[in-house]
Amino acid sequence: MNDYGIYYRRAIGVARLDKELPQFDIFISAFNSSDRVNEVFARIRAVRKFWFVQPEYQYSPLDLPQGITKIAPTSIDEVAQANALLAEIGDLNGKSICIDITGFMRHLLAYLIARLKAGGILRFYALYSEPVAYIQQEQTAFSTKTSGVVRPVRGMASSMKANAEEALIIGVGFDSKLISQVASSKDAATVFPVFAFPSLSPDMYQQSAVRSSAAGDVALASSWTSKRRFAPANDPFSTAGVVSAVVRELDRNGRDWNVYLSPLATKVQVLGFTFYWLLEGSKRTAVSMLLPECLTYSRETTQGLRRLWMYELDFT
Amino acid sequence: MNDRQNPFALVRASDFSDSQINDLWVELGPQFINAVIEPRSRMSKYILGGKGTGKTHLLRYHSYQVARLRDKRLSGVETVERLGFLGVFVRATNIDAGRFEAEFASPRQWQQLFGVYLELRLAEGLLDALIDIQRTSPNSSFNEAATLHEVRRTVHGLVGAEVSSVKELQTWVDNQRRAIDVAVDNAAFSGDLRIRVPFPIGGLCIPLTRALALWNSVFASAPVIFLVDEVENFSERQQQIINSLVRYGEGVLTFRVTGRLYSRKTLATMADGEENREGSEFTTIQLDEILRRFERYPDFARRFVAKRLTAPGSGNTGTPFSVFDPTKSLEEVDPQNFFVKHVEAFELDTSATSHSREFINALKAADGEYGITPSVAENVHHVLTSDFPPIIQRLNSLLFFKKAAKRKDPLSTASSIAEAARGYIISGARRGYYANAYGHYANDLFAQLCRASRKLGRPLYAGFDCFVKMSSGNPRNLLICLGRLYELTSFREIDLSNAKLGLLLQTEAAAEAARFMYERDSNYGAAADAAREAVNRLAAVLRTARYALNIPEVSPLTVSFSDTDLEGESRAVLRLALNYSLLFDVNVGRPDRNSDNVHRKIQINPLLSPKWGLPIARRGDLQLNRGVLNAIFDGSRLEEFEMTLRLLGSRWNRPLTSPSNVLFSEMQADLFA
Repeated sequence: MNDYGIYYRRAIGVARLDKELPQFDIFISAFNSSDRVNEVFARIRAVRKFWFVQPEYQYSPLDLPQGITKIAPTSIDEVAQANALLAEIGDLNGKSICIDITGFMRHLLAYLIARLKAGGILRFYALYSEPVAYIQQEQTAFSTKTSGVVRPVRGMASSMKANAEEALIIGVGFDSKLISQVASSKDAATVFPVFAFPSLSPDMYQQSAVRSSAAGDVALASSWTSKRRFAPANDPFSTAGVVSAVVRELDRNGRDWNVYLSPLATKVQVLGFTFYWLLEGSKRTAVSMLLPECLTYSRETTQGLRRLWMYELDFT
Repeated sequence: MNDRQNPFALVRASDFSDSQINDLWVELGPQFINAVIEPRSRMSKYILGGKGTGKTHLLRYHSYQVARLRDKRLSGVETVERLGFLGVFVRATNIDAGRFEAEFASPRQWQQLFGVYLELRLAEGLLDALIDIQRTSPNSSFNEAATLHEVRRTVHGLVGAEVSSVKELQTWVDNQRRAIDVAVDNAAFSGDLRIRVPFPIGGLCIPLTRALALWNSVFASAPVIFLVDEVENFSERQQQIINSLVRYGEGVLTFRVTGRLYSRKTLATMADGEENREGSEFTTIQLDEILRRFERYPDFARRFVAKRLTAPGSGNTGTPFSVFDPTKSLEEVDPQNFFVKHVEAFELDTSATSHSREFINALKAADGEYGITPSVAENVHHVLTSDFPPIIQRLNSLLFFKKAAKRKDPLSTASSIAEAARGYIISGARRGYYANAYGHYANDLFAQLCRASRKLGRPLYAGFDCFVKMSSGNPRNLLICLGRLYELTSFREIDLSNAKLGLLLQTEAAAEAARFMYERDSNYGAAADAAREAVNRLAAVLRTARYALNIPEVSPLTVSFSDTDLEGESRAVLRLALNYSLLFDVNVGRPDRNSDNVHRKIQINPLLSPKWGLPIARRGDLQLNRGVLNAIFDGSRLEEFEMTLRLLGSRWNRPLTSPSNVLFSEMQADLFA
């Protein structure tokens, strides 16, 4: 079992962002219209800064900031997106890298981290900026259109056991439709909902509970409450620890389990689930990262920048 | 708060253990089940149906693993002998087929690899059953060498492998499958899909299945049937693999494939090859349609509910209905004496004033046509409504609109209707035009009264039979209704053992059930969103019809149209709405009055009816012309749809106003909107 308590995380004062954060060789952020993403991009110090433009946001060239290196692939496949990004950046070895995960799509974020690790990048930094509020509280729409396909993140499917039970660990956010789609795709699985708690702000837990209750069959099942777990919304390492504990609990009960991980809440949670997968899940085997395919995504879902977090992902 | 577990919770067949599948099996009758699954037919079959029609249950019930548990005294060989077949259950979702479609390899490569992978999964299931048969049949002999000799002829990957038993073959198959899993994962990082497939497509399952007659004589007469569940999870290219195995299975590979109504994306074999033909290579059966027509469904529903109430975990084991019997505990709408009981209880007559105003305004809007001047309008209204029960007032008004355009003297028309109404009230006759009209429109008019009532605000949905009708032959839909009802009573701490559950509570449960299905139970991405929005527009048209002064069709839940009128986008969206069971195809179309075209007829799933206050049973069908049809089903024509809806509303509420005046007033409304 991995001790997730030892990993480095710290809150950065928004007012002193440019002073508290070191200068990086490479800074990557996914462009969207949120204040929090743009403010961090403008103020962070880095030798080279890259805007990654997710096609899911459907920006036209005129919508994009000028004078900055932009990578704007057209494919929604995470492998093609990461290929485009890494081809533009070039050699990463020996460079200090920082990624603002706030605006990335879940598929790409999970895959990109795994891809960096597979490419020998064993240490880098991730930033996440907490919003002051979601623009329409519990009514905020994030993914606006999905293909209906729920599939493993490329390279993170793992090999499943024959005749094993299935467990689905869902990171519960605001997007009830995504929860519903994932749960329907694994309708024989025992579901473990992981709620983001403590949430980014006190009202957000309540809002996510309200939203997720509209997720169909899965939210009506008694397991939605009896198997509920909690992980802090802004701590990927604690989240990884919670996922790890659930899987250990399954492995102790004497049966074979295929485990599906589906982080559908904050990007921090995606980071946490991915971190668990890379450190433990991929070695255990039969642990798969599973997400619904998003075709389009809201450009602006939040207001303001409350707090900035920095995490050091260390795979050494 | 009642802490008893909801006995009507939506537990899916996939959630049940093998033994629970047997416990919860409600016999529809062996004849019925056999007709559906045809377990001894060597021809492959598609079993299509909506969510909850029991597809997974049906397949699992016929799988070897579940069948074995029904009589544990039998050996594996005896079980197969008794069944007459060996069912191997494979769930398509377990394959995570989305992995085999990435951009970093060609579609052709992925198709080949998926084909091999699928066969490995099928073989895994089959070998699992064979090992159990061998383990539980100590008195039977099994010729492993002859079987493996047959398999080695086509599986080149077995060359050099130490495989001399079925058990070892299973290990080999498992290793091959894992090698593909790893190769696919690795390729996502390396960009290079490197794997040597151990056999050509068809090279494992065909020889293995054929060789089983050598393995044990029971398989000389008992075929292997692969039961593949939820085929909609396979892409078009992946389904071509199944089609190829069906076509080239040489009479030894037989499938029962389940999926949604339109889950079958292609009939072509691999590489866009020849198409399989219905009746030659496969047959198809649609469960929704069969269940909807199943005459004993109400009886089935009662037994289904009884099973649920006594199922393990319900807290009611051994005491059927001791806590809550929905077949007896639900109050029903009482239509006696023109619904007088409910008129009094819910003050349904309070809407008379507003109805009078609307009726008189509609008459005045005739603007002198048909001899209706403002003073005549007041008199007509007086004659039709004075001293009549509220529902008869509305029926008289409705009948006046139906007749007024054909007769010259509005007052004599009104008097004649009022006279017929009095005769009907006094005699209670079951025949005659007025009795017929009452029989046709009573439910719609009662719904209008309920909706207009300040106490209710919506029509009533109550009684076990009502919920059975709403479920339309789909047990899951029945569970959705009863589950919501149970939760409401539980939340309000109503003692179910003594209570007769009232109309309002049941109506609330029905509305919750509709909301659940519409908002929460049909999230399958953008396609489902488009289908849901189209159904919402269709429902708006039907609702406008049902609550109009001049209801155009009795119990409007169904529409008919010419299939040739459907344009591209509309056709696609309609198909999706049918696929997700938001709509049903009513098979019997009716001829167009003016041509030989056969009209299609579709209805809204009655589980959704409470969302819009629609009826739960269909009678008349509203004919849609090309413009209205495509405005409903093509989401890009929203403005056209809104205009169309307003025009229809005006036509049905101002039936004596000329169409040009209706159009003018709508344009004015647009200007000042």
